[in-house]
Amino acid sequence: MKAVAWAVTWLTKLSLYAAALIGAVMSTIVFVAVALRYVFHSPLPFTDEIVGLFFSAVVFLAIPYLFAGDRNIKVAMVVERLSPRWRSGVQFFSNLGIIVFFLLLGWLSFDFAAFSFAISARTDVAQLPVGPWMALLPLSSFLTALVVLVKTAFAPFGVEVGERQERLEETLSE
Amino acid sequence: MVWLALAIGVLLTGLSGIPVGVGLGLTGLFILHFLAGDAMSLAITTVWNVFNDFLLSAIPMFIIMGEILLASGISGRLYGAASPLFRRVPGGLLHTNIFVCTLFGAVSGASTSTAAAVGSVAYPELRKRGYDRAFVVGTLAAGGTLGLLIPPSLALLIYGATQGVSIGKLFLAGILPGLILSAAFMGVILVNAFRHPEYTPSDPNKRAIGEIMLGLVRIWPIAFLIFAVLGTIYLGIATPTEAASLGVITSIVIGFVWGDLTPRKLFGALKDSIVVFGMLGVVLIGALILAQGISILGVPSQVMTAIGHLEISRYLIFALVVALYIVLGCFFDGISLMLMTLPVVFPVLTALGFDPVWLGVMITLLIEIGMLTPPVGLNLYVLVAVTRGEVSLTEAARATLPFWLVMTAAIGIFTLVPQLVLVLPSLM
Repeated sequence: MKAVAWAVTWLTKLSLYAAALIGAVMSTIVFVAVALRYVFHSPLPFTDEIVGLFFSAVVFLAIPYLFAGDRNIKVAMVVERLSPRWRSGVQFFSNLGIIVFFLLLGWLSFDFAAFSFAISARTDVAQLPVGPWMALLPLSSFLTALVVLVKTAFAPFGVEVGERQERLEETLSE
Repeated sequence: MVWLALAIGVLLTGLSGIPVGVGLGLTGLFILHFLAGDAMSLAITTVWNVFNDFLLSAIPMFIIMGEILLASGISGRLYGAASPLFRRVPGGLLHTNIFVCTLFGAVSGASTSTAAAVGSVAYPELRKRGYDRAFVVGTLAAGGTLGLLIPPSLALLIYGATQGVSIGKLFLAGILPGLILSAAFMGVILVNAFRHPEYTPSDPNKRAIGEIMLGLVRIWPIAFLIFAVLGTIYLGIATPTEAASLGVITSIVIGFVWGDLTPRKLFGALKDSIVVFGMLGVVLIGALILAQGISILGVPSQVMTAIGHLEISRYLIFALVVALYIVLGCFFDGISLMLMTLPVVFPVLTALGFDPVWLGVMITLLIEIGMLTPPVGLNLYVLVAVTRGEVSLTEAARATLPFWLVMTAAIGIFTLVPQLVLVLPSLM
């Protein structure tokens, strides 16, 4: 159980690091495009396209990490005032809602990405294949559903997934 | 039926502690599937189309820039340079809090990061000097809200990108109201200093004008950063996204050369900013799905027809929207609130004749008010955390009340005199 929790945590961490890297590359590309336009009078024609794809990738890749560590914008005011028993009951149904949402999102976006692969969709200017970028949404959605499922299933046994697990690892390694 | 689904969806999102983005998304998918004839696939099309918008890419970059500045410890240098300015004015360093928040707001797009950056430097200093702790928190919480209004502003950026309003005009429109609020906050401090002199100890140390000016000159890198971000937009040199990337690169250079940035801190800032952005991204996904459901059923036009039958003043409608934002702002985070209400509020109010640029500033101001309103006043939480519990949430909320009232009054003033908001964008 602990090995699964560790693996899931690391998957979400890798996903976040990939998002951070893409975020850094995205900023650099836009900066280089501006510099090329003004300094060398030679703008990059496909900046808009590639930055748009990077933007979606950053969001989709960050999502599993957020749900692993419960780092979400939520209204916790009412839940926090409940007794521990009621709170865990509400938390269970909330997690169920999250799983349903991401499974639906994954299923719907899988069809979307599969169609894009089938027609070999490409961007207008740079002719970049769109399918792999679209595939990040179902990938991220299914991974998030899995993360929350593992969290919910392991919680009664005291095995934590996500940020707390990560903190434990850091504490142990120090 | 759609209203019932919306009410239940928002209520369950508020009561169950489910992430706001997921709550909105589930409500949207329910509406699309059951009320819009199994149109759930539209949800993905909308999300994908919006998420490929070049304009929205400015959001993560502005967040990255803010986190880099926070990690660089630049707020400490700013505070050090600005603190001699107001030492002889009644209220002393409390004015510095507002002044530095105004400056930091011009390089940061968020309210909480401004409050945290300035608060972490200012609170220990003012506490040591014997200032009233709760009032210090009040000034910092109010000053922090300027980060969201004074451009670059994440709220204005998201508003502009999702509603198709010029971001350059929105950024220009935020300047004057931001400065007016900043001055009004200083007025509150001044009045308070006369009423309660014990809150603000006087400073016997006189500083020469030359010394003060030299201190201000030393913060020139911030002026350069403001130009890189805002100057390039206003001069038409760069789009908001390009300006954001210039801001990221410039803040990295400034952080390493002038601040305390290290590669480790830079990586941490990058990681933190992606987490913050991801949190916004989830809300954005949910809000887009809900907006698709609402618009496909023609909810905004239904509301417009209903208002037409009622024959009431458009200002009364706006007052109802203000009341709605203030009430919901007690429970929902500002950006979430904006994203979930805009699909109805924007088309209805613009159809009633309100200027979209003016509306963006008003909604940002309403979000700021929510930042100060317990129980979900984020700035209050951030600053209570900065004080390590020395000031309670209730004390902080009470100390913030005069500023809260000023901001609410500002809504009225900007409604009566919209030129205060629109004069700068009209020059563009």
